[in-house]
Amino acid sequence: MDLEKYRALFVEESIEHLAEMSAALAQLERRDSGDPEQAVDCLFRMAHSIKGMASSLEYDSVATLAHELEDWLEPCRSAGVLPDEALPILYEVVGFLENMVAQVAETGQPPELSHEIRQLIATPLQLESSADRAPDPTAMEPVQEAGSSVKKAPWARRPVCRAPSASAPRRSTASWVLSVS
Amino acid sequence: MSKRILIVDDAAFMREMLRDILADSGYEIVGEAADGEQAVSMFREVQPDLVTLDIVMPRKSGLEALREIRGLDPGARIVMCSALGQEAMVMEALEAGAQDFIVKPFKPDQALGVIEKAISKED
Repeated sequence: MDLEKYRALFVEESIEHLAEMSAALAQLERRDSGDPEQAVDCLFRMAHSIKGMASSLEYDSVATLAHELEDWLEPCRSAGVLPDEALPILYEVVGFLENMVAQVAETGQPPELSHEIRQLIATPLQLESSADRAPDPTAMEPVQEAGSSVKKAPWARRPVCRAPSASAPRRSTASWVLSVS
Repeated sequence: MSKRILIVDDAAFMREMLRDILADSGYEIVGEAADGEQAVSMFREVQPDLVTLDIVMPRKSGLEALREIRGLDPGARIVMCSALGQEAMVMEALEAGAQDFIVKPFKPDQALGVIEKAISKED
């Protein structure tokens, strides 16, 4: 396939999507404007779309982060709300994705994924109002304290986010190689 | 006469990729739509032989568009474009009348195989 054409399309569309995500975040932060449900849906769709493009081009680091972001946002999308605590995390992740896309534009390849950025969205967001979930005895226990070099964001442990038990192992950092067929 | 296809995806990137794959194999791309609403109105307008329909889209999802299109034409041939993790929605789409599905990221041969099979299926 014409890799150059698709790379340019990826960069162009991703920049647009990330700008839409930033606008949605600004709207959610202001609280007083627009429909929050639509803004959360927009965040989810943009992450989904970036994942699809990145995986088609085998930009595995971008695809992995976008996929994890999509998964992380899913409960919020279903509920149509985003806890305030998620906002600074999302600004970080969107900023990181912007840098990744900029590097694709400059060098033709995305950078590797940082463990720190993945860690920000490693704890599933669970909304307090979701009463249909089975009680989790390990809820609210901080994760990865001892021996972890990862800096936990202070908002990651506020009550609205519940740390899960050690379920759902995360994929290891993808060691990607840009293979062009 | 070549078969006429309507491509529906909110990502121009994906539309372009499908257009290239299908046009290279002799299909005629009669339209592109970027959301479910456009998809339904373009389906009315161009009466394609097959629609490729993305699931996650703004305004109207692929599932909603699928139901409306099948309402307009119960014989409409539709191939869903899904992503990993959307198995439940794919099942729902198949139950609602979609012929088949492709999973993104797709390989050209796989996508073509699914579309060829769906378009040549007997009613």
